[in-house]
Amino acid sequence: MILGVALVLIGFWGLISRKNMIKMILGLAIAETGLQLIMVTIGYIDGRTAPILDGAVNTLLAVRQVVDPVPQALVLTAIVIGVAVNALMLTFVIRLYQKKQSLNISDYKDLKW
Amino acid sequence: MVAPIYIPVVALGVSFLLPLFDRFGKKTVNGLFLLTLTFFAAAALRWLSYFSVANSPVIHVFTAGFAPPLSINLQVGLEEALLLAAVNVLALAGAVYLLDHLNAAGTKARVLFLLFTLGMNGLVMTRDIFNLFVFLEITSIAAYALIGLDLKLHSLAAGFKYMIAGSLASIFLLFGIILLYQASGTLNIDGMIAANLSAGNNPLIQGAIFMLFLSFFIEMKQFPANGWALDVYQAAHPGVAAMISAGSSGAIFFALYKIFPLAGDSWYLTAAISGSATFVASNWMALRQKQATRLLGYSSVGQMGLLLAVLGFSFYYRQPHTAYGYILAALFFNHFFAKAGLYWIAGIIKKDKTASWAVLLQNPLLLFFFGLFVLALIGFPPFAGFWGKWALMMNLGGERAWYAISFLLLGSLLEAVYYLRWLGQAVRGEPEKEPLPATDVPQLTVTGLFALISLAVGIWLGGSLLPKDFWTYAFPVILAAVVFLFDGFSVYLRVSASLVVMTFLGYYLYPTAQGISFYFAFIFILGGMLMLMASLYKKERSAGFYPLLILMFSSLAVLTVADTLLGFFMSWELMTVSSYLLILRGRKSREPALLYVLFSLGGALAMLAGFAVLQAVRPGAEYWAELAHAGDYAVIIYFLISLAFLVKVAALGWHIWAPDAYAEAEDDLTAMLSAILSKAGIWGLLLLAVFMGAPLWHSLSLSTVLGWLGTLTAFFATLYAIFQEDAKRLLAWSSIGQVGYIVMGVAMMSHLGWLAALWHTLNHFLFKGLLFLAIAGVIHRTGTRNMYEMGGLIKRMPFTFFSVLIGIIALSGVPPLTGFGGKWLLYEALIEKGWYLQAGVAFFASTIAFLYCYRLIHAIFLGIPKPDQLQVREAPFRILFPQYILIAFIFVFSLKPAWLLKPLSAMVAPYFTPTLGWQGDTAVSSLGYWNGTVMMILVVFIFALVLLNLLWMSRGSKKVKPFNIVYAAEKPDRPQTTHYAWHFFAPYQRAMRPLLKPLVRHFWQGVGEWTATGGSVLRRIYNGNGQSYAMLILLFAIILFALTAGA
Amino acid sequence: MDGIVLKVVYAILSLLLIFNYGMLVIGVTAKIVARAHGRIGPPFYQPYIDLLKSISMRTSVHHGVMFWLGPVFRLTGGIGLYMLIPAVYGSQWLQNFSFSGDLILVIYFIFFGMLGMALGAGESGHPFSAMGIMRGLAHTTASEVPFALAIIAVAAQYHTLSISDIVAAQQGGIGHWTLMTNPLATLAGMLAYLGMMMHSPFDLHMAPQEIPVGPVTEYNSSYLALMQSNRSIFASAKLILFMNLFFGGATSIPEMVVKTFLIFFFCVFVGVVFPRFRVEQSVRWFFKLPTMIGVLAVVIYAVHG
Repeated sequence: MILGVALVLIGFWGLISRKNMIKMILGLAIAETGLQLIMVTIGYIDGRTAPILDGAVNTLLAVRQVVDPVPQALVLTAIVIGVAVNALMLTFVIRLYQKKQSLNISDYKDLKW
Repeated sequence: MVAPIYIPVVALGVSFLLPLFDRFGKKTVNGLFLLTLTFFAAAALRWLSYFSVANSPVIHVFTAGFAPPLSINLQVGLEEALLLAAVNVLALAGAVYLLDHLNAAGTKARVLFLLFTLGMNGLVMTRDIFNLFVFLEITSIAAYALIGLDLKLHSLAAGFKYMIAGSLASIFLLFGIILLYQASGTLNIDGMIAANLSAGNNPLIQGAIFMLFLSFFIEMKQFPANGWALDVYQAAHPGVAAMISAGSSGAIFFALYKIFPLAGDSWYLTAAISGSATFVASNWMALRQKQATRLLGYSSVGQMGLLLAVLGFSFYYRQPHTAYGYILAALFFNHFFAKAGLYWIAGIIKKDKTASWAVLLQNPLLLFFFGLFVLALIGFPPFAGFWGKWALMMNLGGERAWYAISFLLLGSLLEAVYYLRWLGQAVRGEPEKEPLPATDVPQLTVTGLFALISLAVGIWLGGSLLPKDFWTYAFPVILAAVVFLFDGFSVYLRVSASLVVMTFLGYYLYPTAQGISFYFAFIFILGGMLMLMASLYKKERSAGFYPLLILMFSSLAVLTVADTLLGFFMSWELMTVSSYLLILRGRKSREPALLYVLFSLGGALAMLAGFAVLQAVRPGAEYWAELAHAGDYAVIIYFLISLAFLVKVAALGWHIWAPDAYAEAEDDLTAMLSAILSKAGIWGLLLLAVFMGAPLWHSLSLSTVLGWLGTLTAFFATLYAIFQEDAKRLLAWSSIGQVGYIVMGVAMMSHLGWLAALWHTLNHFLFKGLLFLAIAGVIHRTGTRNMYEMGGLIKRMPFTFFSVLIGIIALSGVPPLTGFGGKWLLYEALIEKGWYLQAGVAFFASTIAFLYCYRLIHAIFLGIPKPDQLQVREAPFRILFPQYILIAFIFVFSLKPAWLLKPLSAMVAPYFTPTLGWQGDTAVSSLGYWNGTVMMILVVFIFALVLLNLLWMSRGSKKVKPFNIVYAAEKPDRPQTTHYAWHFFAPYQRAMRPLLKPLVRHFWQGVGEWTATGGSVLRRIYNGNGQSYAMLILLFAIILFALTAGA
Repeated sequence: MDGIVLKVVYAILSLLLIFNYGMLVIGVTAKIVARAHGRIGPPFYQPYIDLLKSISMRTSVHHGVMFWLGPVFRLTGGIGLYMLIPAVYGSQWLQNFSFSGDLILVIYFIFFGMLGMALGAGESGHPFSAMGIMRGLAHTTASEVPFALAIIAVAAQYHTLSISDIVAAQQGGIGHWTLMTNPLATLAGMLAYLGMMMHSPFDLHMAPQEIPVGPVTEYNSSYLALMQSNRSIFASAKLILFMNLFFGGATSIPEMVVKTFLIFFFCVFVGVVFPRFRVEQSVRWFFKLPTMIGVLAVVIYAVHG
């Protein structure tokens, strides 16, 4: 949990302190990872197993044996979405680089005020 | 009816299918694409019609066959159906609009568009908070991609900034959701609300709520965390920007509306504060913006702020679904249709700078739509924004939310500034040489469709707020529409139609208007008809002139019978907007019209605030009569409401619009403005006095203040009038001054005072109408307004000369004509009242009036003619005829003042004990007496005798030509140069110099300058750097935290 | 009907009286001023000679209808003004038509002739005419200010605007005159009066050196005759007005003659002593002392209630 929060903060720090756009994206990715970690932690219940209905878990008693499945489902979705966004951002960076040959965020200030 | 679940299903299905259909060609893909969107729109409209029947059960859809919380459920009720209908109609229209753009990017673009639509639909329908997150992300990702689709540097950069902001928001959102889940054990929104999480003081839950709403506030583009949004709006293809500004922002707002009950009390106020700040700040920062799409971006952001603020207030005051539901709907749909329409227009004409939008003149239809959208956004009736603004202010007033009222009104005034400036640039900017790009018919069609929907929604909303006398208040619009049907026919037919509808209106109002209100209705309607006849002197009138005139006159007439506050305010706004659009028709009237409408609007907003304050004392007050019970708030209410009227009468301090507007408006329109429109303010002041009397501020009566204001207006305006070179400006200042006298009369709050005011109201109508029409005729023939460029026209235009002569005699108050009646009543009243000093100043002013009267007639008609004007013809009969009707009235009332004065006395009698008695035809006041009839006979008799005497004595007198003047035995080479007209009162100007500093103008210029500069300094925070934007978002988080923790 | 006829007969008699009185006053004044200058001066009946000369001129030119009507307006204004003022208190035949209006009517009717005259002169096209009118108008606005304030103070004092009533209130000896009961108003009024008579130092509208005779530059023959007639009537009417307002009015014709003559002499004396003002000087002068006194006179009543 603490690690997650720390990661989120590190990610934010990266986002606002790095001029390089790729590093900024990495900052966001780190923050997302931290968040995902927090989500998993929240769903985790000591002494229980993964919420997968296979041999290790009794189907009827599953609710008592497995950790909360919902956060895990959420994490999966969140990861997918995060990946998609990061990929899209990277594409944008590539396109931007092609236009201006710079990865510095400060070079893209044509739109302002 | 379609089950809601089919929307996501079909959207996803078609998205997968579209690439497969690629091989069948573009047409098939587009067909399928549009078919899908049509299906959505049709389904949504079907739901809407289903829910329009009261008490229809809400549709629930449970996925996977379980009830929540185990499954995700979708819900469609009335609110959802409204949103879905709007969003899907927008999606369809947007798709039609964007079709070419999307086609250029291939099939994937259409898939993105479908997903974007799906996301919006999902945001509206889902009741599961995590699902909400998913739909939000779908919408956002689709939006990112749509923005970057054109691969332009600006779009990509803007998209990247958007993505940074979006990612941050989604991190916060997810964080919040997971914490909330932990606390409540459910993801279902209804379940969470039922758990009433915010009640406890659990820091974890508060933190979760903080994260959740922080994210939504960022998505709502709150100041200052909204730089990215501005860039997106500016850079994205306008079609895409329209989808984001209206569509996805709207859907996100609705999602926020759904989950808002989760937030605790502290958030309600925070939302109100943040939203108001955003509304004011973004409109403020937009003042110096010249980039069209970015300007729209500022406005969009501001509107989101307004919506959030209203949402906050609605919860803060515990009325989320009653009154505020209406307000939210009105404001939301107003923004929704108008903003989409404006972006589309921006996309059609492809002009970056607002100043280049004059190109719209090449396409009147598009200009018309543009005008409608702008007026809608500013909140003029009958658009939805007007009703929303009204209801919002009345509710906030009832809650005594003074700060909210002032901030929101300030914000909407600022918004009006740049929109109206823009409208002015479009209508009266430098004409563009480049032709308008060939207009795409589907694009024009959807824009027009939205304009119509916007109008229809407005009228529909208005109908529900104006239950009583709906038709009376709707008349002006209906009559204008009727006359609009005649546009394009000959001028004679249009004028005839106008006269017919005015007669009809008079007939309709006749039973309702009584006493003073009848008097004013009489002036407004018959005066209007007379002026309509005069307008015939020009053969050509472009479309819209007569409908607007009818709108102006009939809303003026309706003002006289409006007994409800809303009805009055609506008619007032209609009158303002129609007169503004009329003034804007003048060739150089861009700036003057802007100044006029801004002052008027400022005044109207003050009036609105006044009505709102009344709600605090008399909750639910609807009628003027309730102003009598204003109690402790009487002073502030009187002050606020009177501002609107003082602007209209151009009282000193609020007058700077008047000289320019009068001078630059079309010549016959100026006559109408001065003779008729300025009386609207007088009518308002009378109403205010009837219902509120003269409230006391400590021991100072507000009517004393008003009296001094009138006195000083009369004095300074008259003083300025004498130094004008432009005939119309001279008369404009004169109008301001003359109306100042009327204000004095009203302020006296006595029988004689009101008689003076009412007498002068009619008299000013008569002589100022006469003078302006006569001058219009002169300008029509000579082509100049500068008096020194004329001279000696008495020989060429004797009938016009006679008009002006009678006009100035009536104006200056020289007996025996009607003008004297006004002076006599005024001084008797002033001295009776004990206002001696005011009487002295008024007298001074009226002697100064001789100076400009003489200057007017001398410079134009007397002296030496200009050689190029030797062949000038008399003014057209069509403009002379109304003048002579006015002259006839002047003579009748001069000969028989009793015919007017006695009825007036009866009209005033209900309010004050009469102090004017009669002995035959002699009017007797407490101080003196006056017999206009004997006076007239006496003067005519003596005049005739002297005339006969001179006729006899001067027989054989020879007439000499104007050019053979001689002095010192020398005949000037160019005699016209000796016409003493320019800078006529130079020595007087030297003597009066200390009084001639335009302090008021400087003051207002300063206000304008500083406001605009302040806005442009503030907007520097949006430095274009994506990283700074991210920092601003984090800063916003801190501010928000402080706010919620503090609240 | 008899009443009306009688009134008209009285009015005509009254007019004849005042016309001749005015002519004589002007003539006598010219004589006195000449003596003060050390000249012999014209005979006291010189105004009659001038008038006859103007009427019998063989050449007569005019510039158009308004030029032609100017003198008519002017004389109508003069006669009308006189008709509105009761000349002698208590005398039936010198009441004129004062029942048709009060003081407000009188002071506004003063402008009638001025305006008509200005219009007529304007049509002549001579720049001196226009300049003279400009000066006259500008100057008038200034001198009217203290005058108006004085009148307001008087009206506030007597609670009436009826001239007859004001005179009635002053009967019973010099102690009841406005001069005594309301010295500030009288002072303001009499300073304004200097301006209204348009004698030196306020004769700037006809300044002989700069714009010879000003507005009337182009007027000749019978047109000029009308103006000369007006001059006597108009001046007398104004004198009577001031007498009524501040000096107790008159109960008999000799009293009126004496009082008005003295009042007239006030402005003549001032004129002999002081040189002419420029326009802005005159305007500013009126705004300073006379206006201040007038304001003071009015404020006293405003404060008293």
